[in-house]
Amino acid sequence: MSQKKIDQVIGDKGFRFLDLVVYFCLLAMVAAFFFLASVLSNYPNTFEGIQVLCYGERVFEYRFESDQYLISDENRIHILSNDREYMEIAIETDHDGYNRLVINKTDCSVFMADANCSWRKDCTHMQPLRGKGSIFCMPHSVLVLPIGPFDDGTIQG
Amino acid sequence: MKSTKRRIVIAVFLTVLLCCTWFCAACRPSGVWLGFISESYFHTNATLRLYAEREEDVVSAEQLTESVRNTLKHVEEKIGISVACSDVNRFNEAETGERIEICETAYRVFSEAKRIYEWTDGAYNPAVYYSVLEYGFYFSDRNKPPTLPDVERIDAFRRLSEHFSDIVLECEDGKFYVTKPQDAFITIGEERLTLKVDLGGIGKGYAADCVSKLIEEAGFSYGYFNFSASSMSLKKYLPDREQFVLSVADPREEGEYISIGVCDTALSTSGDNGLYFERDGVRYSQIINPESGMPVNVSSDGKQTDGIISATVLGGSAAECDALTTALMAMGREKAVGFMRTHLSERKVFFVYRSNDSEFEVVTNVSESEFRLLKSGYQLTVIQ
Repeated sequence: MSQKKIDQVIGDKGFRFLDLVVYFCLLAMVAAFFFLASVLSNYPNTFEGIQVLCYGERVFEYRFESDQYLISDENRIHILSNDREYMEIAIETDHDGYNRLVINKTDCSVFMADANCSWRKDCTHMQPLRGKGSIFCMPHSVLVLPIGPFDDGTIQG
Repeated sequence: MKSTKRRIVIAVFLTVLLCCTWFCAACRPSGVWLGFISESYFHTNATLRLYAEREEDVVSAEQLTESVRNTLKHVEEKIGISVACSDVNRFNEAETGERIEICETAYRVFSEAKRIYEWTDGAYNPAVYYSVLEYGFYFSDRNKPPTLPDVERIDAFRRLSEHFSDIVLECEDGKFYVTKPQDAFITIGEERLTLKVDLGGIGKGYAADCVSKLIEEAGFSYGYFNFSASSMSLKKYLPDREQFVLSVADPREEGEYISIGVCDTALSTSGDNGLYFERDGVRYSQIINPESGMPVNVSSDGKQTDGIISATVLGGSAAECDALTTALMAMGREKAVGFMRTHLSERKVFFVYRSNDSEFEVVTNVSESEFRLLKSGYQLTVIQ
């Protein structure tokens, strides 16, 4: 390559250092905009925690991230055990009924361990709650629901 | 000159960048989801989700939510067998030959049930009431499993259920009537039992269809309504992504066995993994085979047989889907495949067949490219 050509290439340099700084800042702003948009958009799908309804009233709430719980009705809810991995609660229902619910903090799942609702104990055979669906004990009117925004476009059939 | 060129390049770059940013931002959904989650109707959880795109849609969505609640209450009051004065219960308590006046809702559900009974050649029969009762699925002692019913009683119930086709429905001067057939009774010992029906299954589907109509009339294009998995009516998901991802629960293991993109359709799933109990390794499900009067996939000598353990139908009305999934499970594999070929080519059907060797097969009339099979151990059969 001739010296003349080299001088021409150097002379034609389209971008200087400050131009690159401006471009970088712009790109950073766009990236930040998209990040915020995704956080604030309608697509979130996080299993934040669970709530327990008994006869239609919310009696208990648990959140995985903060590992905090809230008992709204102390006559219905009794904490049986609570350590780093598991929490077990008893839900007291009318006519000496009970359900035992286990919260697995490690894999963020919840399942009904025992109940005296019927000899079939349908609620104890239900799949663990991992974000979608619910656990429903019909005879005791106990409903375990996820907490979180779940309008993420997935539906379980 | 060089500086001018550079400025032009920068200006073009910035313009394109801003246009892209604006375009992407405009594409993001800005509405809110409204409705209700897990409210109890028909002894199951109903969920209504409506996507309100604009501020003025929020008020309409709230009004629509109340209308949906009222509709669900109305259908349950007229159809539910746990509601003492429902039209279905009044029919159940009526004497043979008795003609009772019912509301239009009950009339429509009765009519639809009769139509699907004929269509499926009796594989869907809501008059298996006594079998469901006898196996302890309606009311049972809290801590005591029911003894397995006597085969002769079950056979008598089966014969009684065949009178479902003889039910007479009439519409006169804007009033609706149902007549219990004269000979629709059996006598077991001193017990005289007359024909009874449970329209809860198809009634949920009918309610889902009513809700779907309300959603359309209110002008909402995005959202869905469901009764857990049993009856669903889907609209579109969002303006920039129309399809929901439907995943169907595996009838034996945790998780799902298929997933498929769906929108603007009704669907239903039935399986022997809903209400059931097991005795000596045999699964007694709430779904009764009208041909035997026993739970599906159980032989008259109390052995587990091969058969369909889960069925999903998409398309048509939710009431149809509800009845068809029950019917397919009762038909068994060969009949179900024949029925799919002759009657369900316009619908999407999936079912899981469990063989005597506990091998699982997914049978469908949906092209492989349209869905994902999520279980590697399941054999797949796509029928044409």
